[in-house]
Amino acid sequence: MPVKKEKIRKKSLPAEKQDKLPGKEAVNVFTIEAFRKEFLVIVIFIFFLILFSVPVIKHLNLAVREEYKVYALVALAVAYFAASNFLRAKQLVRKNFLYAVDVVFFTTVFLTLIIMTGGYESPFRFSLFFLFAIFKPFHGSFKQVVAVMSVVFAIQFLLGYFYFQELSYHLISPIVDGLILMTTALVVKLAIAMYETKAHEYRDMGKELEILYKEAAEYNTRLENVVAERTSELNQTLSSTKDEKNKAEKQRVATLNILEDMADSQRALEQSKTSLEARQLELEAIAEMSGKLSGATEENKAIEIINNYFQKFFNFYSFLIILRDVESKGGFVVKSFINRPVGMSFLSIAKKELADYMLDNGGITKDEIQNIINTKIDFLGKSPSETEDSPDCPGFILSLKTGEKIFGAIYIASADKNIYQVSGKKEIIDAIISTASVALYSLQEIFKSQQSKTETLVKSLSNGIILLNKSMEAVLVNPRATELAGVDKLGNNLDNFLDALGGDRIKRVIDLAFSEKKAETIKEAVVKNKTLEISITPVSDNEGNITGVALIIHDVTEAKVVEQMKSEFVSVASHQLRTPLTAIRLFIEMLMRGDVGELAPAQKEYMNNVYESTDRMVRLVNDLLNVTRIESNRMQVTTEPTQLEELIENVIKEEEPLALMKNCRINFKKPVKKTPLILVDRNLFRQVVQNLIVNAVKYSDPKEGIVKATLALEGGENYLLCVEDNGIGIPEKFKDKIFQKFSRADNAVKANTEGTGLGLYVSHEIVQSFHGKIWFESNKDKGTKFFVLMPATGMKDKTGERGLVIS
Amino acid sequence: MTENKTDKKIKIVLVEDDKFISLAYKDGLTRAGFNVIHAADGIEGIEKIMAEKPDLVLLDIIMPGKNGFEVMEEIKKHPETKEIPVIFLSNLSQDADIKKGKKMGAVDYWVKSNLSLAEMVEKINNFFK
Repeated sequence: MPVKKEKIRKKSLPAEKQDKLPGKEAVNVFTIEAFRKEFLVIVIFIFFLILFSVPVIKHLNLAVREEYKVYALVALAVAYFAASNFLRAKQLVRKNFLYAVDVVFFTTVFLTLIIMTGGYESPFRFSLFFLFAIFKPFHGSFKQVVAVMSVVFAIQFLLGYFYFQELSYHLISPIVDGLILMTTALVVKLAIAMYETKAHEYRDMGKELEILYKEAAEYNTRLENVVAERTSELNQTLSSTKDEKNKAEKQRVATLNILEDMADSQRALEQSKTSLEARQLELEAIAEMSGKLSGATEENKAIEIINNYFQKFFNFYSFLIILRDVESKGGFVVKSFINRPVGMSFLSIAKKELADYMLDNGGITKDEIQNIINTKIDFLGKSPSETEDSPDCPGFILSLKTGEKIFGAIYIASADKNIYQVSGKKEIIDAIISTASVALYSLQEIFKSQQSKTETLVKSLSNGIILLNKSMEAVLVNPRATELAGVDKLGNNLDNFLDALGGDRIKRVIDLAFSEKKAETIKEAVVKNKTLEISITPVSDNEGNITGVALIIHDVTEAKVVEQMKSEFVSVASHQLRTPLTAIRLFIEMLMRGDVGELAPAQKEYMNNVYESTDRMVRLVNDLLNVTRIESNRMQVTTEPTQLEELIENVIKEEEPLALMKNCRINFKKPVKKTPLILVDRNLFRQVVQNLIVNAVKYSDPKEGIVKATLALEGGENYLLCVEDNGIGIPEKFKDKIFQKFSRADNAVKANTEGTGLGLYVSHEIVQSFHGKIWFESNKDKGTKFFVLMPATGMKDKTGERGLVIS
Repeated sequence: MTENKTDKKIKIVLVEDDKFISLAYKDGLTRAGFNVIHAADGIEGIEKIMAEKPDLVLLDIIMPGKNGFEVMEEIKKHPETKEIPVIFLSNLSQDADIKKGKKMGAVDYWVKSNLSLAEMVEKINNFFK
């Protein structure tokens, strides 16, 4: 069989195609190319069929007669197909032989059929052709199909002509069959051709990949061979060097022995060197400590440094230091730095021993001993242990002295009893102690001189000053403070004193100063007919830790009286000023109206000038009065539930005549949703809105002014009012000053001579008073936008003397 | 402005201590067709109001003798005067004063420096419409 296969393939494949696929057997491929050739043949065939049929086509008369017997024949045909295809697939029989059998079989079947059905056109014949048309193309070329069909048709035609004597019908039906068959065959063939073409491409790709893979495998094998070769070479070389290595090893051992002897002698040398180095390290450490100590500005810090360096050299539990207290005469401070837990009773004993030492050597009196014993120990490191008591660690006492003067002593508790007797250690301890002495003494001296300076300064201050430490004890109180509080001496009456100053409120502020480093001022604390202003400020050390709180008490009683007098004066003065101004205005009005005779045009113009100046004066008086109110912080705030957009709308309505005069249009864009009522002092807020609207109208484009006011809820927390004009804008250099008193930009003065320079200042102060915000954005010659942010919570009521003057 | 000439003139008592302001108001209002009777202080004001029983009282606040608020109290005390409408006319323009004035029964409170004569005439006319 394989031989046969080869033979068939070779016949159907061009020679060059076989060369292209080396290593693989050639495959019979039915491609689009092959299809095109066959297509030409079938088209020619169909052409002739049609040509031949034209004269008889009109005789076509299709009728169907059922002949069920024919089923058997059809079944036989199908069975035959199955068998024939099986044989082909298994390649058991030669192909050409099968075609011959096909021809014979189909001819027989047809003849039988035609005879059985009386030569009539029938669906059975049609289906037979159909089957044939579908199966045939799978294994035959069109030439073959055409050949087979031609024979079938010829027989049918001849039969029809001679047997049935009915030429027209038996001529046309083969033609129709042929057309249907050929068209179907063409479609099926095309589908196969397309499929085969694609499959062929993939097959080619697969083959190329296989070739590549093969090459890679070959290369790999070559590489493995080379590696194996090199490895065996290396192995040879290695075995030859092994002998030499053994020799060298022996030599090395000999050398090592010699070296070891040398090392012994060197070790001796090194030991002495190490001890020298240790000595040097110690000296360096002491020098370093001395440097650090000179940088320490506090006793506690210095003691901590001393402790740290002690720890570097010795194993000790704690030490206790006694120094004269620079802050109080005859007093002492006892400070302890604990590294390992020691008990309280041990510390008491140590303190007593230190006191005795000071009596013998430090030149203190017996009375002062009691002071030492009464002094509480200030613990800098760990706190003393409650449970553990007196470990077996007797200490020794050394004096802290400058020159020959002993100013304190130190008790060092150490587990190593005789450490001070060991030569080498003793020198280090002495060095540390003498360095520490110098540092502590100079710290005390500095403190003393500073304190006396500060004391003098603080005593002479006209403000009362109280300094509290963390445990709420008064560390510093100047005479003015006790005087203001109305006590002889503060003593233990701090609580009473604070109560007098403002009770819980002041204590809360002090707590706040401690906990949040927040400074605050209590403006009006009334203590015994005096009005005090108390500033409470946290005091912190160099590292920012809070060490205390300072209370600065300022007597504002007189200032307040003066302030009140001033306010009343301004109030009365402005009222007095307004009276004549009102009279002037009224008379001018009547004059201008011609009540007492018509005025000449020039007179009228002059009168108009006088009228406007008077008007401005009235507004100036009003604004001044408001400024005084605001500045003295005694402005009354009376809130009412208010709808902001309504208030703004009213203001705009009132300013409409002014806008008309200035050729200006005012648009107001309200929030989409009606805003809820919020508590607002209408007069105050109105003043702000009015100032902004009037300014915008005044300074908008004189030809076609447009003022846009917008109110919106910002993030649910604030109302934002924006008033925009299209005017001259605010010059850059003036932007910082716009909210200042009596400030008017150059271009504003030119454009409008009526402003007082107080409107925006007043607005700013009002907005500030309700914790809102006011700001602006301005582009020169394009316009200005003013913004006012009002908290959605509204304003809070405030009692005061007077409300605002409304113009 | 002239409509009152044909009717019986509206009688106004103007209580105002400032010489020039009272002159201006008197002239202006008279010209506008009102019958204006002037009183130069609080005490005189009370007398004139009692005597004249005017249609309207324009009452200043800061005056020698009795101030406007005291005059107001007096007016409201007497049954024959307590129905007379009173308008405060002052240069005190504090919210507190305005509220106080209205609380005492004034029909309105005008700030002199903010009001022109023409406006005042219009307001009075509107009041009597």
